[in-house]
Amino acid sequence: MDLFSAVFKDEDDLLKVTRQVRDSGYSIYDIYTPYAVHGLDDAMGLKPSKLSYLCFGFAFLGLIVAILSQYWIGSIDWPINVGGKPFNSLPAYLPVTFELTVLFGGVGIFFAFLFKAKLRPGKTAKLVNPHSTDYYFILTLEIKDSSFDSETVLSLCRQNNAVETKIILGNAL
Amino acid sequence: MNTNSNSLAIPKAVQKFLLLLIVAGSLTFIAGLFLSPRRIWGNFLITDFYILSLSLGAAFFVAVNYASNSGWVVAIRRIPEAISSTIWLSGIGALILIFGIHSLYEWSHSAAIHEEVSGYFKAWFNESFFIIRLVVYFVVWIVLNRAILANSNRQDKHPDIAYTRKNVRNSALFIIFGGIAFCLASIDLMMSLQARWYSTVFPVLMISGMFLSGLAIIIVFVVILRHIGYSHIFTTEHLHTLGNYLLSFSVFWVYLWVSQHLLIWYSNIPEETSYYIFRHFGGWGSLSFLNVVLNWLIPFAVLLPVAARKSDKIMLQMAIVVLIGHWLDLFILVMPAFLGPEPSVSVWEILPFIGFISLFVLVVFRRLRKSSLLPVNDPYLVESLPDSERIVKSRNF
Repeated sequence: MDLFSAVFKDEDDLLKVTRQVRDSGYSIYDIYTPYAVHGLDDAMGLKPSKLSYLCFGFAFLGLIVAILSQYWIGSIDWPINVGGKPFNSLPAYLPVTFELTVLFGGVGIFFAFLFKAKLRPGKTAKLVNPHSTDYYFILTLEIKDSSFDSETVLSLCRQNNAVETKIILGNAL
Repeated sequence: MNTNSNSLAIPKAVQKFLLLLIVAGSLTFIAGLFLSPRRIWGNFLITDFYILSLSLGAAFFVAVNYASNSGWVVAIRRIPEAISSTIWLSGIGALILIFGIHSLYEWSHSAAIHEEVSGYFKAWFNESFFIIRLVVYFVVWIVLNRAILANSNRQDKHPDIAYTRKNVRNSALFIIFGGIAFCLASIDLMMSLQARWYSTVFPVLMISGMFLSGLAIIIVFVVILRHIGYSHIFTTEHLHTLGNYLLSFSVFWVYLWVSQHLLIWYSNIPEETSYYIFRHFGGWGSLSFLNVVLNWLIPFAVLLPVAARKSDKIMLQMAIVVLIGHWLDLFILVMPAFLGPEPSVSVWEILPFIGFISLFVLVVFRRLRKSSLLPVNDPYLVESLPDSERIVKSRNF
């Protein structure tokens, strides 16, 4: 697939042009920015992420694992009398349960994100423009077929102060 | 055109009703002084500390957002500002409370307690020093809070970033000295009710409850103003952020509640457990359970999905749940000393409390009318309200 890319220097320009190209019916391949731009997900029409449900699931798993393991260790396998407390007492389980809930939720969603974004340690980033990690805001559009009207897109980009536009042949990203 | 007011007004009927409640509350309080003095003083302490929590919670909310240079809060800032301007109300309450010291605090009249609890106890807990301290706390809160509000209002007339810079400094001072004052005030007013009992995490638990209830009252006012036609300046985004705050501070409150409870339960030292043994069985036990349900379980479970934090109706319900929960929190803290082993709620609990709350609502609305609902010249306004330029020009607020 061929891509069209345009470089902007200002996030307001980027937000404006994103809304305009989406309204004109072009499909956005992706947008590369040096930092998270507020309101961009809305302008791109992205659906809310489902990762938070996954996080809840992992955290709940952590809760169950923590309570069951402490119950098994503390009152079945190796009961120890600590300060005369009953072997099976919920208050004593609370700190570990809290920590494991947070740990499972945090670590779980971290790996889920890596998996979904196809990231791994040591992966080489393919960048449209190295300055997208720095000070450039880059919009890339899919060139699907002949319905892609490069003249209109170009004029939209120029109106919004695009610094540079180009066409990337074959999906190099 | 008068730039320093708005058309906000409470309907006459509501105003009359609130005035009626204030009169009924004060009459019940006076009757209680003769019929059931210990119980009425305990309840007055709860009521006064409750109002103090609401106004100080809002004051800390304003200060925290100034000190951190938060942009999002600017469009709704006049609401917490108006709520925080009522610290003087609980200050007057504290002056009345001075007459009840002997009914409330055992240390004020028992010689035995001073021999039992040694060290610096006597130097700290005596009547005159107690009164001086109360005055100092309120002076610190009111002076610093007034300074912040005055700069914020002056900025409406004179567009100058210097006012924002001054307020960042004032807010930092307020957070440090106001925070220390509140820690000491919670020890003086609340923890010293049972002079033999102490807990080092107690002031922090009180701070979390204060901030949580402050957030809840801000949300109530935001939702009311959105409902009567200000939803273009108090937007869903603001409601959403306030919801995030409410959710996280509800968790913070229960974290500290468990911290205090767990350590006392684990170490099992008689003078520490005496506090919880009373609150663990019978009616007080059920109320303690309800306390955690209202302040944490319900808000946490309901506000977890993001859609709930953007809904006016759900946010209002959760804010009211938290406000009831905070009263219950203070009720469980104070009243076992006055009611004995079984809790009961009567007219002494309800009417004076509702009377004081009505007075609080009237004062906040009067303050809201006084200044413009939008800090029009705040440099961060556009961050909070992307459409601010058009709204300020059309004077539609």
